[in-house]
Amino acid sequence: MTGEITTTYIMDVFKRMRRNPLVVISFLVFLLICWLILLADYIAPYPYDYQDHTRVLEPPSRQHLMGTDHLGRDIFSRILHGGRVSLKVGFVSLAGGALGGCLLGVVAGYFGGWLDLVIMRCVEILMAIPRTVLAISMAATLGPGLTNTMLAVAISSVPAFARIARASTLSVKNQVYVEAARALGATHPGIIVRHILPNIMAPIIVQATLGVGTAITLAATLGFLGLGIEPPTPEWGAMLAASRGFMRDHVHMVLFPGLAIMLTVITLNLIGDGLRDALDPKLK
Amino acid sequence: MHKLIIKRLLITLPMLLGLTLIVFTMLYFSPGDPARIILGDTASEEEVQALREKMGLNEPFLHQYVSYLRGVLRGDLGTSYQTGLPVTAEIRARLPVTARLALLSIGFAMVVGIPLGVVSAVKQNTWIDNLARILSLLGLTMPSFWLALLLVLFFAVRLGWLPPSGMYGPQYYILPVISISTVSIATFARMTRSSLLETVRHDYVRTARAKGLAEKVVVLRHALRNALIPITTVVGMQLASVLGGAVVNEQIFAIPGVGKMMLDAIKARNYPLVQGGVLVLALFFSLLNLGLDILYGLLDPRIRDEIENQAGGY
Repeated sequence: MTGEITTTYIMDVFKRMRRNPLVVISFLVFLLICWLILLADYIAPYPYDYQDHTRVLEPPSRQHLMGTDHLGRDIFSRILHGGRVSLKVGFVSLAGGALGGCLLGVVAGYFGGWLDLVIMRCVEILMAIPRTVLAISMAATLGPGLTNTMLAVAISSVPAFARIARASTLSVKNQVYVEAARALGATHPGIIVRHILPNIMAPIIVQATLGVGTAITLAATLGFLGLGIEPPTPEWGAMLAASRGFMRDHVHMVLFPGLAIMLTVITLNLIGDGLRDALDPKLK
Repeated sequence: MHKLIIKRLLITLPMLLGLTLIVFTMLYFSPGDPARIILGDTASEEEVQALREKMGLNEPFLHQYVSYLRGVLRGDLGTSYQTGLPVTAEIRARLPVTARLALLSIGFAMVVGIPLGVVSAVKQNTWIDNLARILSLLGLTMPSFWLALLLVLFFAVRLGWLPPSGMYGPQYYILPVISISTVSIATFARMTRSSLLETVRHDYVRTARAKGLAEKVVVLRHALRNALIPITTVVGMQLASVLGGAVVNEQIFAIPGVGKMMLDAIKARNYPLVQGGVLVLALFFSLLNLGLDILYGLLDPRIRDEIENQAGGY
């Protein structure tokens, strides 16, 4: 699953992705979700912390598209604002985890020897802790809050990237063009940046697209368990936790935040699947 | 084969050592002063200092780690701040529930997921296949804790068929197991489908068809057996998933297992219990994986080679 990233190559990938209607639809839906969330300040009909005590736990209506919660807050507005946290955690923590993991993996794979041994053993130790458990215990150690949630999710995504980056590096580092670059006197960092990285991007991009969805779910799980972002900032997981006491008679409270998570993650997954097929047409 | 077992053990032992270092580091950096947490806000500064001295909290990091490691080797994971009971005793009382929950879930996931994948592959591109693939996608993307809430709402609250929480008999396992295993069911179904579709292209499958074997025999005896090889490697990964799922679902279903213990301990800032739980879950997971690798090695020489190469490759 390797191929140098060139303009023609990227055009080819896009062309192949365009042929898959499901991917196109997912991409459009995801753009719509991002647009709604980023412009939440203008689109949301109410401020996320506006409480109308006369309209508590109302079912969906024209005034409140997704109803109101136990404090009379508009759930639709809270979901839009809450999406910011989820998207931010999903993308930032994944970018951090991918960067850290790739750095470790490329260094381990490229230099080999004891460096490889030490790095990969550390990665394996992290992998010995189930990911959710790792994120929970990291969150417990770091304490709640946006930055700490991102850090916990980022660290728990490092091992996957490190392994993929290492395996891909191993498969390209003995290629003739790397040898040629070395013969021409290129430095190690130069070879890594100019020749290794562009050639191992494909599997990493796929893992990243699928990983954002996982990161969003994991962040919501932490929020649900009360280990994530603290109130009053709305967050999808925390909204679901709050709905537990009321879901018996007010299904809308538990339904919409969950649907928001699922829709976001589904579109990301479908885009990731489409990207994988497009990057590697042989697999189809 | 001996080579495989020895190599796997040689990897696992230092890994467990590293695990204790990570767990201890997290414990060390946990917020709050343990002595203060134990004694409460009313204790005087002198009392807190005295307890810190007694607990060895004023020693340097490495010193503390070595005494922690000594304790771990003796089977001592510290004491709970709240109850004063040894952490191992607290965990021993709860690990069976978590283990049963995780193993039931992975078993259920395989029993449902693999046949689903087979049907999907055999009926490729029919409505059955499409339905199975949509269900897999939903299972893969649905947050487990949300599914748990919906299951409780529907089967416990609305229909009243199953208990919403607690752990007092076999029927209490049903909803948590469904909720925990859904992601794994979807993963097994997807993997089985793609692996089987890949396998049926091989010559031996064509030969089996050509010699007039029934389609059922071709698929089940020739194709599926080989298609299962990549799936075996997924089982280990799914074990991590069900253990994580068990932790979260124990909280939702109020099941007295290691996961609920850990989450309750986080709220109470009872960190020895939290990190003890992490260590034991990771240990449980590592040993199961070790057992699985050895089992696969016994079953299939190709996997044996793969694991041996992987072990020697670094």
